[in-house]
Amino acid sequence: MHTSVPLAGQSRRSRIRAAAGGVLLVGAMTLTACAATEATPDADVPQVLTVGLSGEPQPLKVGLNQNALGYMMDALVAQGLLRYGPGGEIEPALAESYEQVDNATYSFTLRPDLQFSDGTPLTSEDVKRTFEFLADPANAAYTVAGMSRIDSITTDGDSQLTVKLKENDPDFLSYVANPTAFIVKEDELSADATVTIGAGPFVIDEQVQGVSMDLVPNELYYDPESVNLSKIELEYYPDTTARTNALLSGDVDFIDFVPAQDFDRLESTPGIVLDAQAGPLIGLTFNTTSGPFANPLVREAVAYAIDRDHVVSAADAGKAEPIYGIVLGEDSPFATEDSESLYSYDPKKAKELLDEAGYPDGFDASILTMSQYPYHQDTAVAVQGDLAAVGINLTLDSGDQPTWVKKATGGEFEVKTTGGSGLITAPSYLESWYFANASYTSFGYDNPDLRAALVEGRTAETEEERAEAYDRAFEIVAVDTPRVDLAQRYNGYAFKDTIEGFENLPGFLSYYSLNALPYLTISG
Amino acid sequence: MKRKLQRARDAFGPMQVIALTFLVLLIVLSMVAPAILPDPLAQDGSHTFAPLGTSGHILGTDAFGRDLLARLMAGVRTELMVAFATTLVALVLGTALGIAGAYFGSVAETVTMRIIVDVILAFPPIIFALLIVTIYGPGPITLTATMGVLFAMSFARIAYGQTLTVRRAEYVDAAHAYGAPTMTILFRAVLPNISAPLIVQASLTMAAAILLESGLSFLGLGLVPPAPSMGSMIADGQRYLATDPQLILIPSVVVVLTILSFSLLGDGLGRWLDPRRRNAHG
Amino acid sequence: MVAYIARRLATGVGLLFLVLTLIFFVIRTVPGDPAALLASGGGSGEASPEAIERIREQLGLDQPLWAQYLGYLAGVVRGDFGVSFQFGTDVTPIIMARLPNTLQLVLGAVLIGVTVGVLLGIIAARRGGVVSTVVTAMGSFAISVPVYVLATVLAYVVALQLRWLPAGGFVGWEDPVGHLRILVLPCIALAVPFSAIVATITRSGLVETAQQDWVRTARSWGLSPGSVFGRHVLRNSLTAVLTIVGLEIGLMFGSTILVEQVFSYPGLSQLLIKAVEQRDYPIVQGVAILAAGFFIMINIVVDVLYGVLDPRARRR
Repeated sequence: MHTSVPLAGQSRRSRIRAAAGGVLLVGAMTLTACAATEATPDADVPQVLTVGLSGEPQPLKVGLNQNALGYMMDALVAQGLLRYGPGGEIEPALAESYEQVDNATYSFTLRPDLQFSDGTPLTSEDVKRTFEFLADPANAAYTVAGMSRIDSITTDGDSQLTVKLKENDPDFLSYVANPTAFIVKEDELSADATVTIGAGPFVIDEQVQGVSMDLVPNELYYDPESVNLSKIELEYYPDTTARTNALLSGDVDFIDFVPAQDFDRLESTPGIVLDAQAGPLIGLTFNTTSGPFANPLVREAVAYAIDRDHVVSAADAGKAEPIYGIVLGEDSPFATEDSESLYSYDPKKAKELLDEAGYPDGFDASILTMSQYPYHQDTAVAVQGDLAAVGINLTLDSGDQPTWVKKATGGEFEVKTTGGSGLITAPSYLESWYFANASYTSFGYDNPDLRAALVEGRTAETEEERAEAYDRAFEIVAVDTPRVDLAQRYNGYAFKDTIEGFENLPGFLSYYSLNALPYLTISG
Repeated sequence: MKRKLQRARDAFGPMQVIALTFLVLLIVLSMVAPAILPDPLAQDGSHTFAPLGTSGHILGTDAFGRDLLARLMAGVRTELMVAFATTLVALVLGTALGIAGAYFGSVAETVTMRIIVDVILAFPPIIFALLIVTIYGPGPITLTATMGVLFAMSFARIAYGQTLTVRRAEYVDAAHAYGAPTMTILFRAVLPNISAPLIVQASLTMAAAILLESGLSFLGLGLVPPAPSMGSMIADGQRYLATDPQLILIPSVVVVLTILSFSLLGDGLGRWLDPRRRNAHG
Repeated sequence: MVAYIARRLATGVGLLFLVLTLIFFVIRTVPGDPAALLASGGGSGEASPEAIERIREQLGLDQPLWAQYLGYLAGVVRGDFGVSFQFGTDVTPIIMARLPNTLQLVLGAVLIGVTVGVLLGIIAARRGGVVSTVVTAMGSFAISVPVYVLATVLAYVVALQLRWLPAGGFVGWEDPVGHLRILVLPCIALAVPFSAIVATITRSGLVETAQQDWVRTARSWGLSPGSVFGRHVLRNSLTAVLTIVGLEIGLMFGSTILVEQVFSYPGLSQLLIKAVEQRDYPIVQGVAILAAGFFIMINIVVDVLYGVLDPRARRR
């Protein structure tokens, strides 16, 4: 019997803190919720899983970040050398074993006689080719940050492979385990190709565009025993309410992206399990090239002026953790008391900072947000309310996502709501938070000192040196306030209690949780 | 005079009286609301989801702790203003197009009725609005302009048809013969004689505009938050249907009653201004 | 008459061409770059400029606008509406797969609406008095309920609380019962305001016809009231109903956007909304042209019907 994650009180807090932390440490403790999943299928129960999905997965591309639905497809029809298992622990996939020789050298041994779903053998050469493709920035791979650190790949026979990095990256395996880093057949290894053949546990059987997709087990998968389902039916329910309704009315067995408003209702429904983890962040990024927000003091004032609890209750129905600093998790060796509480809710201090910045009477500005995602827009409204109290009057500029993307990349905004999730949970994810032009960095922001400190934090040889470098980075962040993180939102999956073997992965890994879909079992 | 009164009494039954009373009450309430109710935008994180009947918040509060009654009244105010502006735009634009098409003959007719009106009518209204709002961004101006153009087409068709019949009327010919300027003829002779069906259409358009506006807001294409509107309140409320049904039910009821009142008034006006339809009412 | 229809069809084609041109240029002024969206996997990631440029070339978006337009026109003439940006396959089959779904919604709603509406209208007209008032009042009310409110309430009460029908989604025709069960709630949501309109028209049509001289004459000849009603009055009134069906079908087509949203029903509107969100120009163009063609056809049919029913209108 599953127990759903408690979402109230002290237990939640500790779990969530742990969840955002280091992968290996967390693994052991989050396992308790969903332990003993080694179920053998009940012969009388048809092993057909019907999933109500938040949308239609796009045609699969090599290495691209195609969102949570893309990660799911990656894990269903393809496979990488490693993958995230229960608790977010990295486990072998196509690789039988792997070794971290040092922080810049990794070796892998592939399983014997691997094949793609069309019968083509999969060898270490395919892996080498795929990794080199992912490392090329022109191919826009999601894992390019890690893969581009590869200096050379040497193969030894069909199953041996050694990767040497240009510089230390203790978390390189996190990139290898990312679902988008699946191994691709030679003739499909192109940025323009749609991937149809992989080495994953399932193959696409039938699809009706806009309606559904059926998958059946791949007979050539290397570990057929781990697959108990005879069929997976993906059905698309883009409307959040319709999706929840589909599960409640029994039309589907499993749904993704449960809206926070429905957590309590699903949790209290007998026969339904809700599994939620605090994962993706929502916060503010600025246009630091001009206007009041170019002034770090103003940005700091914003960080002090916003009551995160207000944001959490208004925009996330209370299902989020307020954030006043840098999300590392309390188990992270690099987290300190300071890093977790760089700021606090202190409107008086915010006003003083505004005074100091030369805006004693505040100012008018606009905030860019997205109308498609209620939590974005609601966050903007909550922020608007709090900033009005210190004299910053925001007008909402709300359009659909492509409009947001266009204005965001073109710098046509003053401050905007930004959602995001680290690609990996190790602190080097912060490089995509603070490096110039990185995905989640404020527009126009660049600080060479911060960059240097973050790189040193990743590459330094000893833990002490790394911790010291990260401390330095956090001090710079406190002064610069390059962005203001507000809340870590819960990402929820809900399913019938007859489904066994699912576990929402902790922290940023939550979006990779559908990795487990192929290996679920249905009991009576 | 007596006959006129009798006609009005026939046309406006008790339903129309109730509708009119409701609308007047709603308008008055929404106008005085800012003076007596809390700020509809004021958030209060410690008073979210207050139930009905909470002291200080008669209808309770929403997820931001904003007073529901104040938001409702502000929503009604914007709703009515947008609907009224839309109707005005539609009435003026549509009537101008229709008269021009009918009065100035073949080229004008082709341009106005065949090209402008038919092309716009070839789009399902919501699809048209979806495209325009995506381009220009949501907001009251976009909304009014889009809906105004859409609804103008029905006015254009009515004005066109009416002007065609009036154009050949004796009094128009007479004005021509006296050498009256075209504009004078249009405003003095044509317009007054085609106005009855246009007024009826205006009342129905108010109802249709409220319906369409709330539908667009429901799809996130209406007003920009945090400004309240009926449709966005209903869309927000939908998310809390299971736990706080009043958040969707109250605005829904107000929308339904408002639309109902306008269409009832439209019916009454129609009967009053068009005696032939009186019999139809039975 | 034939010449009239031919002339209307010719103007229809001309209109379609205008709509096509308009939509082609309008959709390209919508902010947002389809290539950037595709390169970044739907807008969440960050794409390299090289990747965006390559995709732009691949989609032909690097060519000058007029060249794109001429290319598109040349395709349309041959019946080729281009390749979807999102799915990488031809637009026509994608749209054609969705079209029946939306048509079923509309047809189902018309069927329910006409049946219920005519029945209510007859009851109101024949009984008169209180019944008539009640039907009229219910009708005014039904017209005023926004379709999305109705849909939301239906989904909540019938699907979730009573569990009589599914709350949304889709089942193909291979399971006919399941398919029909899916259709019931969205069709009812569309049909309620429509049936109210039909009821009103039927009732007033019947009342008006019943007062005509020829009906009195028929009665005075000793025909039974039932037979007069069924064979003459009713048939005469139904032409008005037919016209209103034609006019309202277009509006209903627009309302499907809301109903499909609430029930996550895979129809044309859902396809269109998603395509606008993803800046999938060929799909947006395709759906808009199809919808416009549909509207233009309905207008022609209604006008022709008018002509058949009322010869005076033909001269226009």
